[in-house]
Amino acid sequence: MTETQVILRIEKGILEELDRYLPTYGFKTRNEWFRTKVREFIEESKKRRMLEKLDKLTVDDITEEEIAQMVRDWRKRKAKY
Amino acid sequence: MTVIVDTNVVIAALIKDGVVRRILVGNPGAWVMPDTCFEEIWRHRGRWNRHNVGDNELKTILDEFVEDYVFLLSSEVYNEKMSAAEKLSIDQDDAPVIALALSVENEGIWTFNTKHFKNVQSAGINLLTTEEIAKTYKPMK
Repeated sequence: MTETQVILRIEKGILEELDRYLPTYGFKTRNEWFRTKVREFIEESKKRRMLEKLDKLTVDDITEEEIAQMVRDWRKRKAKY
Repeated sequence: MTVIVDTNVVIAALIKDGVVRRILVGNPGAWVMPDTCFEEIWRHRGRWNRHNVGDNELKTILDEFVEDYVFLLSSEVYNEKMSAAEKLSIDQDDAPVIALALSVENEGIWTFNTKHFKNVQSAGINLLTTEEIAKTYKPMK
Protein backbone atom coordinates (compact mmCIF):
# COMPACT_ATOMS: atom_id res chain seq x y z
CA MET A 1 0.00 0.00 0.00
CA THR A 2 1.40 3.35 -1.03
CA GLU A 3 0.87 6.10 1.47
CA THR A 4 0.75 9.83 0.92
CA GLN A 5 1.44 12.49 3.50
CA VAL A 6 -1.33 15.04 4.10
CA ILE A 7 -0.73 18.42 5.69
CA LEU A 8 -3.81 20.09 7.14
CA ARG A 9 -4.19 23.46 8.82
CA ILE A 10 -6.48 23.91 11.80
CA GLU A 11 -6.77 26.27 14.78
CA LYS A 12 -4.45 25.26 17.64
CA GLY A 13 -7.30 25.17 20.19
CA ILE A 14 -9.38 22.80 18.09
CA LEU A 15 -6.40 20.50 17.59
CA GLU A 16 -5.82 20.40 21.36
CA GLU A 17 -9.47 19.59 21.88
CA LEU A 18 -9.28 16.84 19.27
CA ASP A 19 -6.27 15.34 21.05
CA ARG A 20 -8.19 15.35 24.34
CA TYR A 21 -11.15 13.49 22.84
CA LEU A 22 -9.28 10.92 20.72
CA PRO A 23 -8.84 8.36 23.55
CA THR A 24 -12.54 8.65 24.43
CA TYR A 25 -13.30 7.02 21.08
CA GLY A 26 -10.43 4.55 21.28
CA PHE A 27 -8.07 6.34 18.90
CA LYS A 28 -4.40 6.31 19.85
CA THR A 29 -3.23 8.87 17.31
CA ARG A 30 -4.58 11.65 15.12
CA ASN A 31 -3.47 9.62 12.14
CA GLU A 32 -5.57 6.63 13.23
CA TRP A 33 -8.59 8.88 13.69
CA PHE A 34 -8.06 10.58 10.33
CA ARG A 35 -7.79 7.27 8.44
CA THR A 36 -10.97 5.96 10.07
CA LYS A 37 -12.90 9.15 9.32
CA VAL A 38 -11.76 9.21 5.69
CA ARG A 39 -12.83 5.58 5.21
CA GLU A 40 -16.20 6.26 6.84
CA PHE A 41 -16.68 9.31 4.65
CA ILE A 42 -15.92 7.34 1.50
CA GLU A 43 -18.29 4.51 2.52
CA GLU A 44 -21.05 7.00 3.25
CA SER A 45 -20.42 8.85 -0.01
CA LYS A 46 -20.68 5.61 -1.99
CA LYS A 47 -24.07 4.96 -0.39
CA ARG A 48 -25.24 8.50 -1.18
CA ARG A 49 -24.11 8.11 -4.77
CA MET A 50 -26.03 4.82 -5.01
CA LEU A 51 -29.16 6.53 -3.66
CA GLU A 52 -28.76 9.25 -6.30
CA LYS A 53 -28.51 6.64 -9.03
CA LEU A 54 -31.52 4.76 -7.69
CA ASP A 55 -33.45 8.05 -7.79
CA LYS A 56 -33.47 7.68 -11.56
CA LEU A 57 -35.40 4.42 -11.15
CA THR A 58 -38.07 5.92 -8.88
CA VAL A 59 -41.27 5.64 -10.85
CA ASP A 60 -43.99 4.88 -8.36
CA ASP A 61 -45.09 5.68 -4.88
CA ILE A 62 -46.93 2.48 -4.09
CA THR A 63 -47.46 0.40 -0.99
CA GLU A 64 -45.79 -2.89 -0.07
CA GLU A 65 -49.07 -4.72 -0.69
CA GLU A 66 -49.38 -3.16 -4.15
CA ILE A 67 -45.84 -4.23 -4.99
CA ALA A 68 -46.52 -7.79 -3.82
CA GLN A 69 -49.66 -7.77 -5.99
CA MET A 70 -47.67 -6.46 -8.95
CA VAL A 71 -45.22 -9.37 -8.67
CA ARG A 72 -48.12 -11.84 -8.36
CA ASP A 73 -49.62 -10.34 -11.55
CA TRP A 74 -46.30 -10.71 -13.41
CA ARG A 75 -46.23 -14.36 -12.46
CA LYS A 76 -49.86 -14.97 -13.45
CA ARG A 77 -49.17 -13.47 -16.87
CA LYS A 78 -46.01 -15.59 -17.21
CA ALA A 79 -47.99 -18.72 -16.33
CA LYS A 80 -50.46 -18.01 -19.16
CA TYR A 81 -47.74 -18.09 -21.83
CA MET B 1 -25.48 -12.41 9.37
CA THR B 2 -27.40 -12.46 6.11
CA VAL B 3 -30.99 -11.77 5.20
CA ILE B 4 -32.58 -13.35 2.14
CA VAL B 5 -34.58 -10.76 0.21
CA ASP B 6 -37.62 -11.60 -1.86
CA THR B 7 -38.22 -10.12 -5.33
CA ASN B 8 -40.87 -7.71 -4.08
CA VAL B 9 -38.47 -6.16 -1.55
CA VAL B 10 -35.89 -5.44 -4.23
CA ILE B 11 -38.58 -4.09 -6.56
CA ALA B 12 -39.68 -1.74 -3.79
CA ALA B 13 -36.10 -0.53 -3.34
CA LEU B 14 -35.80 0.13 -7.05
CA ILE B 15 -39.08 1.83 -7.87
CA LYS B 16 -39.71 3.78 -4.70
CA ASP B 17 -37.59 6.15 -2.63
CA GLY B 18 -38.64 4.86 0.73
CA VAL B 19 -37.48 3.05 3.83
CA VAL B 20 -36.80 -0.24 1.99
CA ARG B 21 -34.32 1.40 -0.40
CA ARG B 22 -32.67 3.23 2.47
CA ILE B 23 -32.33 0.08 4.57
CA LEU B 24 -30.78 -1.93 1.71
CA VAL B 25 -28.33 0.80 0.72
CA GLY B 26 -27.57 1.73 4.30
CA ASN B 27 -26.43 -1.80 5.16
CA PRO B 28 -24.43 -3.07 2.19
CA GLY B 29 -23.61 -6.74 2.03
CA ALA B 30 -26.24 -7.86 4.54
CA TRP B 31 -28.59 -9.02 1.77
CA VAL B 32 -28.64 -11.91 -0.66
CA MET B 33 -31.13 -13.07 -3.27
CA PRO B 34 -31.24 -15.85 -5.82
CA ASP B 35 -30.25 -14.95 -9.38
CA THR B 36 -33.77 -15.86 -10.54
CA CYS B 37 -35.19 -12.84 -8.70
CA PHE B 38 -32.85 -10.58 -10.59
CA GLU B 39 -33.84 -12.23 -13.88
CA GLU B 40 -37.49 -11.66 -13.00
CA ILE B 41 -36.81 -7.97 -12.36
CA TRP B 42 -34.87 -7.65 -15.61
CA ARG B 43 -37.73 -9.24 -17.58
CA HIS B 44 -39.95 -6.41 -16.33
CA ARG B 45 -37.56 -3.57 -17.10
CA GLY B 46 -40.19 -2.03 -19.41
CA ARG B 47 -41.47 -0.16 -16.38
CA TRP B 48 -38.24 1.86 -16.36
CA ASN B 49 -37.85 1.95 -20.13
CA ARG B 50 -41.22 3.73 -20.25
CA HIS B 51 -39.77 6.36 -17.90
CA ASN B 52 -36.82 7.03 -20.23
CA VAL B 53 -34.33 4.77 -18.46
CA GLY B 54 -32.75 2.72 -21.22
CA ASP B 55 -31.43 -0.82 -20.87
CA ASN B 56 -27.77 0.25 -20.70
CA GLU B 57 -28.29 2.79 -17.96
CA LEU B 58 -30.55 0.43 -16.04
CA LYS B 59 -28.03 -2.38 -16.29
CA THR B 60 -25.22 -0.14 -15.03
CA ILE B 61 -27.26 0.86 -11.98
CA LEU B 62 -28.45 -2.68 -11.25
CA ASP B 63 -24.94 -4.09 -11.67
CA GLU B 64 -23.62 -1.69 -9.05
CA PHE B 65 -26.59 -2.44 -6.80
CA VAL B 66 -25.98 -6.19 -6.86
CA GLU B 67 -22.22 -5.84 -6.67
CA ASP B 68 -22.10 -3.76 -3.51
CA TYR B 69 -25.49 -4.00 -1.81
CA VAL B 70 -27.61 -7.08 -2.56
CA PHE B 71 -25.52 -10.09 -3.52
CA LEU B 72 -26.84 -12.46 -6.15
CA LEU B 73 -26.30 -16.15 -5.54
CA SER B 74 -26.47 -18.59 -8.42
CA SER B 75 -28.49 -21.79 -8.56
CA GLU B 76 -25.32 -23.77 -7.85
CA VAL B 77 -25.63 -22.58 -4.27
CA TYR B 78 -29.26 -23.59 -3.72
CA ASN B 79 -30.10 -26.22 -6.38
CA GLU B 80 -29.69 -29.10 -3.98
CA LYS B 81 -32.51 -27.71 -1.81
CA MET B 82 -34.92 -26.95 -4.65
CA SER B 83 -37.12 -30.01 -4.26
CA ALA B 84 -37.48 -29.42 -0.51
CA ALA B 85 -38.22 -25.76 -1.25
CA GLU B 86 -40.88 -26.59 -3.82
CA LYS B 87 -42.72 -28.62 -1.19
CA LEU B 88 -42.76 -25.56 1.09
CA SER B 89 -43.74 -23.10 -1.67
CA ILE B 90 -47.27 -21.92 -2.28
CA ASP B 91 -46.11 -20.11 -5.43
CA GLN B 92 -43.43 -22.15 -7.24
CA ASP B 93 -41.71 -18.91 -8.32
CA ASP B 94 -40.80 -18.43 -4.65
CA ALA B 95 -38.99 -21.77 -4.50
CA PRO B 96 -35.48 -20.36 -5.28
CA VAL B 97 -35.82 -17.87 -2.38
CA ILE B 98 -36.79 -20.69 -0.01
CA ALA B 99 -34.09 -23.00 -1.40
CA LEU B 100 -31.52 -20.28 -0.78
CA ALA B 101 -32.78 -19.85 2.78
CA LEU B 102 -32.34 -23.61 3.27
CA SER B 103 -28.81 -23.49 1.83
CA VAL B 104 -27.03 -20.60 3.55
CA GLU B 105 -26.90 -19.37 7.12
CA ASN B 106 -29.38 -16.52 7.44
CA GLU B 107 -31.60 -14.51 9.75
CA GLY B 108 -34.67 -15.15 7.62
CA ILE B 109 -36.56 -14.14 4.50
CA TRP B 110 -37.61 -10.51 4.13
CA THR B 111 -40.81 -10.40 2.11
CA PHE B 112 -44.01 -8.38 1.79
CA ASN B 113 -45.85 -11.56 0.98
CA THR B 114 -45.75 -13.51 4.22
CA LYS B 115 -48.85 -15.54 3.27
CA HIS B 116 -47.00 -17.17 0.38
CA PHE B 117 -44.09 -18.07 2.65
CA LYS B 118 -46.00 -19.23 5.71
CA ASN B 119 -44.90 -22.90 5.31
CA VAL B 120 -41.20 -22.07 5.64
CA GLN B 121 -41.49 -21.49 9.36
CA SER B 122 -41.98 -25.25 9.80
CA ALA B 123 -38.47 -25.63 8.33
CA GLY B 124 -37.02 -23.24 10.91
CA ILE B 125 -36.79 -20.24 8.57
CA ASN B 126 -37.81 -16.85 9.97
CA LEU B 127 -40.12 -14.57 8.06
CA LEU B 128 -39.21 -10.93 8.45
CA THR B 129 -41.35 -7.86 7.84
CA THR B 130 -39.99 -4.41 7.05
CA GLU B 131 -40.78 -3.28 10.60
CA GLU B 132 -38.73 -6.16 12.04
CA ILE B 133 -35.85 -5.55 9.67
CA ALA B 134 -35.81 -1.84 10.54
CA LYS B 135 -35.18 -2.67 14.21
CA THR B 136 -31.80 -4.19 13.37
CA TYR B 137 -30.85 -2.48 10.12
CA LYS B 138 -31.11 1.26 10.24
CA PRO B 139 -32.21 3.12 7.10
CA MET B 140 -29.94 5.79 5.65
CA LYS B 141 -31.09 9.31 6.41
